[in-house]
Amino acid sequence: MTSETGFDTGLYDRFPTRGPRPAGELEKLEDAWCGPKGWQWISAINNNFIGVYYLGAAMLFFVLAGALALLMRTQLALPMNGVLPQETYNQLFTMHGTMMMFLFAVPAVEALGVLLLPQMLGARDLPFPRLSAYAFWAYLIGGLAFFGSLFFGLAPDGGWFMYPPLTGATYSPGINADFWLLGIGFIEISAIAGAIEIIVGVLRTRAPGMTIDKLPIFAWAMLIFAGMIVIASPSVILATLLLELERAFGWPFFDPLKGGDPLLWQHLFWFFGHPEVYIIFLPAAGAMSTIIPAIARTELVGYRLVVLAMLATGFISFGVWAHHMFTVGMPRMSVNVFSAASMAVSVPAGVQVFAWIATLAAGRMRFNTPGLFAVGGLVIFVVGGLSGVMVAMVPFDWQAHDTYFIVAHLHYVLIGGMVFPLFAAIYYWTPLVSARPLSERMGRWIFWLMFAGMHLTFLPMHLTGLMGMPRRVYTYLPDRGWELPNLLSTAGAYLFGIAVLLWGIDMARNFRPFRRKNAGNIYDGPGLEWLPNDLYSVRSIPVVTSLYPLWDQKGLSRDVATGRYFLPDNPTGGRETLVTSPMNAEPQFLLRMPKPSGWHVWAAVFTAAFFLLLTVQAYAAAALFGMLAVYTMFHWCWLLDRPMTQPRVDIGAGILAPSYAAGPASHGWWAMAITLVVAGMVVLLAGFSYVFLWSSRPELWKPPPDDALIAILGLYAVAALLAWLAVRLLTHDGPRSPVVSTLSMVLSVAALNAAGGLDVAGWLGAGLDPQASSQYAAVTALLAWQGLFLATAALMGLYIGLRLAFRYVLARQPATFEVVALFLAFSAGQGAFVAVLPRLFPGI
Amino acid sequence: MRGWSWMLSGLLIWAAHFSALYAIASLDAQTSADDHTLWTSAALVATLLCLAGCGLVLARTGFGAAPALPDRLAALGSLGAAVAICWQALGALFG
Ligand code: HEM
Ligand SMILES: [Cu+2]
Repeated sequence: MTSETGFDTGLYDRFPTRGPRPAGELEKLEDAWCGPKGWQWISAINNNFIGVYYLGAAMLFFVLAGALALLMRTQLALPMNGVLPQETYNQLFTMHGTMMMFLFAVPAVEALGVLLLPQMLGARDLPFPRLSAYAFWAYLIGGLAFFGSLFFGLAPDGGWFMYPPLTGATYSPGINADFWLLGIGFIEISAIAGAIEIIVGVLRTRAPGMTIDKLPIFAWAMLIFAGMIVIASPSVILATLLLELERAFGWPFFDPLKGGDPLLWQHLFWFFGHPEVYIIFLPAAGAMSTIIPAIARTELVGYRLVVLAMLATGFISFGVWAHHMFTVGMPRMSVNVFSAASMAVSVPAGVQVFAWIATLAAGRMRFNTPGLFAVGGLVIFVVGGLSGVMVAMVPFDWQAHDTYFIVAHLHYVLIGGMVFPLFAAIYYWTPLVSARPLSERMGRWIFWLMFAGMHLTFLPMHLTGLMGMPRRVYTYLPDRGWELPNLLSTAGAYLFGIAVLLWGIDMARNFRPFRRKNAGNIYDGPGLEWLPNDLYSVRSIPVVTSLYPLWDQKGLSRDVATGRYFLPDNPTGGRETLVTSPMNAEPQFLLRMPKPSGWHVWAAVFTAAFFLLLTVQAYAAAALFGMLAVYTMFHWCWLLDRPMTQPRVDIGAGILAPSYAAGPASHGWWAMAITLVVAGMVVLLAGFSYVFLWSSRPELWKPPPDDALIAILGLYAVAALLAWLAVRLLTHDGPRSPVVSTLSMVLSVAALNAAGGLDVAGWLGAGLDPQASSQYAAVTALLAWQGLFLATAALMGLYIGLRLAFRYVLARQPATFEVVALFLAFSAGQGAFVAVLPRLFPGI
Repeated sequence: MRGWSWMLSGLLIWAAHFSALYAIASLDAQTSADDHTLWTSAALVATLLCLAGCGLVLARTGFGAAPALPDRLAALGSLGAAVAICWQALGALFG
């Protein structure tokens, strides 16, 4: 294989090294990675801690949302039952669905990634430990506040997909809907932060030698998962922003009286919402593809096909969103295309199912608890897949739409595709983080209760649905034949509840995390995560030569544990890990990682407070906390890219590597690039919305200002050029480089803001009034989005200036400049898009 | 970046085809009914172009012995994409 980075892979032959390790090496490592004491558990950033907190919080929300489900089932047990009033029932199904999807399913799999990936990849930690800690705290605080709204009667009640006009200001006047809109927007920010972490982690912190075809299948799944979050969640962020703007300020995006269109919401929501289903399913499937081979003690059949299937799922799932809209009266050609794609998307899922069955057949299955949950999940998922193909057929969907048939279908898919695999994962990986494994005996009970309870609850619902019972009704009349199936469903729900309760007891009795010793590899798994590990993850970072290293590389555990591989120490004295190249995982540089500090926690608290205060319309207080949030983030960034003393270090066996990187080689640049992909998706979808709104009411459109388009574009071009120039000037390394390059960067910021100002002035001159029409609302939204970037750019200018004052601007350390330049160049491009689209389209 | 685009080429072609069909269907709905034939032929052209793209990728990889993962994914991906493209084109052409 040719080298990707110029690294000589022959150097791998130096490992495992021979001879004794120097004394004190291990102690230094333990010192750098020591666990939190006392209150420090709050500011902990090690993935061993954050991963467990994260998963714990997700399970908490699972239990809470499950309790809401039991309340609903109690109400529906008998016809004309009086346990819950109608309004409460509406809040319950909305909260149950929303919490299960946004606060349980996605965070739970993300947490699994944060917890497992570093160990699986042979890294000491994920590349941005504070970012995942921030994501966790933001999610926990935001989620609890969201749940708390139930106790004040303020919970949203428009269903988990919140369709306007029902959720518009006219029909939902209270702040209940705002809780949903701001809460979910906020939770998505946390999901994106986690996704960035996972993408960069999987691509850049793999153990040397772990080429892309030796990437563990779970890591593949998490990579695709994170990529899908980056593409999909901008859509829901945009949708919630637009609806909130309409509710708060009367900008008519969805109100047809002024040219808005409620269908826009459905498009935006489902462009996110359908991929969301696969976002949930893929990591769980990745866990299945990891657990089944381990339990059956054989390699996964068709690794490459499974990888392709997961990639194909990732793609096709973005082409099916409108199957949720078959009943709204779309043009026939679209309906056909979406129906075809919806059937096609079940093929990759089928490929995975067959790979699992073939693996089970090829190996010798052990029916222990993880095995049972894996196989049980498979069975349930297949049933859900079958009813899914049924509703992908348009005429059938016309009948089943909005009935209990759909409720049955979605629970089969979600519970079989995500909940059962998650439980399999919990039982399989607990020995990795806990001093004791969970109880095998109780595990079997839990499985059978859950399995029986699940079928008893949801199998009859297919029937109730076909008999015509609509979903989201708080009660029903007797003698329609709906009594028996409903009673059975309720009984099943309680069985499920008992199973979850038993699981809680099992956890309380046996789950002992954060100890020095864990239970170890009791299932004989083949992945790197089963190497002996401690808070610093592995003692040394192995050279990987197999997809199943612990099965195929004899003596690996011993050599790793005695420090005979890469990075057996911490040459710069702090926390570090190796960064490797994305395809072939060749060592590139040593990443120095941050020590715990409280800034990210404060940032999370303040952002959560900001959103919460916005929701209750305390705007002044919200502004204050918003500023505090910005300040804490600013401080957090301030700790980055400090002058360093050891440019090259020994990363093991005498191999030297830089301890610094800038530009596309560095991890920070990647994080910025991914963030900008998110931003780019938002603005693209905003462009789509603009065109969509035009297409529904073209006659309302007014001509754009015929003004300084050329000047605006020119200024943006100058801004991009100056940003690029700033980096060149800095790396040129002349005596005045820091000053001149900083100046160039600041001028770039000024040019950006001048261009934006000119753009806004033009529209104001043409009488822009965002409340007047959907056209003006859309234009204002585009301008406001760009304004956000210009403000951020201004902050960055300030940041760079301060760095100059502190003498942190150094020619040998251009990483910050590269990142800022990338941001400014993007903002210029985005600004050009925002200026051009509404002026040239529809070309009046 | 080049490595990834190559590895995902089949799927990217599928995505391009899907976007084209979506755009064409929307335009078809936006314009007068007389133009329907025009838009179906556009869909046909888009489909043939994308199929040709899949063919090109397949021709470049071939099915030699034990190709590396990126090549294998490119080949299998464009094969799968070709099938999916035909399948979805049916909906657009005979709708
Ligand atoms: C045994 C456990 C569960 C029970 C008994 C249960 C029960 C229910 C009930 C009674 C409804 C309301 C039906 C209606 O009135 O239309 C519902 C809706 C829903 N459930 Fe569950 N559920 C369970 C688990 C889950 C899980 C694990 C998820 C997701 C991961 C989930 C996601 C949803 C969603 C998205 C809705 C739709 C909410 C809406 O209509 O807006 N549920 N469930
Ligand atoms: Cu869907």
